[in-house]
Amino acid sequence: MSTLSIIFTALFYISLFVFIVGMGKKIYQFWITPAPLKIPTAPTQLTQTGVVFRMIREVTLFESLFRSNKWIWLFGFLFHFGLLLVLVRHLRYFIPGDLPEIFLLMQPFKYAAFAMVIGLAGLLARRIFVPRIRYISAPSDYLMLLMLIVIGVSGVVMTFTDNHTDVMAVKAFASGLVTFDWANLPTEIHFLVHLFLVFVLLAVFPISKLLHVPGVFFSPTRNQVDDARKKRHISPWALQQEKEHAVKLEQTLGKDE
Amino acid sequence: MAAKEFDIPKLPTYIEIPELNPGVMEGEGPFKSSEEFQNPLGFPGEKVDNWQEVAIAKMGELKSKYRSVQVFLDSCVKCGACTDKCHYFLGSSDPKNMPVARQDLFRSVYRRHFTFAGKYFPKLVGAKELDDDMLDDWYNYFHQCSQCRRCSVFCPYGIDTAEISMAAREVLDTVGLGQKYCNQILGKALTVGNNLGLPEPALKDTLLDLEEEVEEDFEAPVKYPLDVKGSEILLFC
Repeated sequence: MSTLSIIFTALFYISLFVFIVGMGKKIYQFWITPAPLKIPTAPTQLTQTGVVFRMIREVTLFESLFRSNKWIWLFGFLFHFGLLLVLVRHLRYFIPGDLPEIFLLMQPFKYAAFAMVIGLAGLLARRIFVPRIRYISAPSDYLMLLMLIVIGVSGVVMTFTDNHTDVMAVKAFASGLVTFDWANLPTEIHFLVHLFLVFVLLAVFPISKLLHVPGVFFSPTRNQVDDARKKRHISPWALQQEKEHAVKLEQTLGKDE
Repeated sequence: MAAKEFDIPKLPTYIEIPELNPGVMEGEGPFKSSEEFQNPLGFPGEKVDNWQEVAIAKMGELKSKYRSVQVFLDSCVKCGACTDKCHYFLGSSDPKNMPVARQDLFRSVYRRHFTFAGKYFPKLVGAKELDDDMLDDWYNYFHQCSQCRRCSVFCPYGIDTAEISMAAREVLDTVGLGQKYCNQILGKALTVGNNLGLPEPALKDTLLDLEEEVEEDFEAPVKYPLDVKGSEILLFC
């Protein structure tokens, strides 16, 4: 194996490790932190089923964002949905050997790359030209978009221009990562940039705003049933506080008959 | 008879969004609470000497007690969906009254002290130190939020500025910067027994007078029991 291939193979495992451990820690933190108050926002759901459907609409259609701002919704939806299709299509590189026939149906998904890049460009344009959004943007907000745009554009260049890379070699490399049967990777610069930035993206996932992915599922204003009047909702620390308060009251006011 | 004509302003589908006027709502904020009202609530009477330490510790405590605070601090992507939703912003045009910018006063400090990126690359991610200016901004701008939660309805992740501003106000209380109006009322409810600060004999006398007047006017012997167990109506003031 070439030195370059060894470096990229190592980078893959390192970034994947950082991603899994980092996300695991973050999700655990979200999980164990109590939610002492019922704070669902309108339109609230009265049943658990309702909440599940609300969450599904939220993560598949971006319902709240649609109500909020049509432009951000359009660009955000183009980007996320495009990215989803592109990611699904990338599975072919990681599955060793011949592919099931279903992958033929995924062939057109490559055009989703354009939706993705257009969406990202729109979001970047808004960040630059809308003064309100420019005001709230930090350098990392621009960098994140630029990084995704470079990933998208380098992918488009490989797929739709004459600068193809050797996809069979890519497949050998990627499926080798899964089966621990490591292979050399192609050395076209746009492929290396594409791959490197994906590793960077994986590694910064748990320490950046990309935490909105697990965050939305833990958001108390979206994932709670509005049944505070039916059933008492109390967290362990609030219950403890309540008990201590009762003892204090008893000491000052005397026992209640 | 012709109906009277009123000049009703039209409410357009898309509201007019004001241009940004940074700093127009800068100021001292509301009156600060004094020792007399702070102490009964367990808060120091004036700004403590090691306020930075105390504030950061309190932030850590709050985010471990409230999932909302932790999740909301981590999840914002600065998409800008909330920027034109706050009536304090629409009415004042001060960018720090945009929900995301208001939260960022708190979030930038959180990033500086609690996140990897903020500790090592503060400039990159917009992490900031909690200095005097920042604390003044907290006091001023977190009291320009009515906690109506309109921003939360429109946020794609349901991020609720009210949760953040409540946390910030609690931190402010803990370092000795309480807000007079609220803390005075809370203190009175706690020490005197009602929000108006009426002493018990005065309240008793008022209720007796009321009973007499009602009996005179309606000839009904209505009673207003004060601190009587088993009363049918329970009224907290």
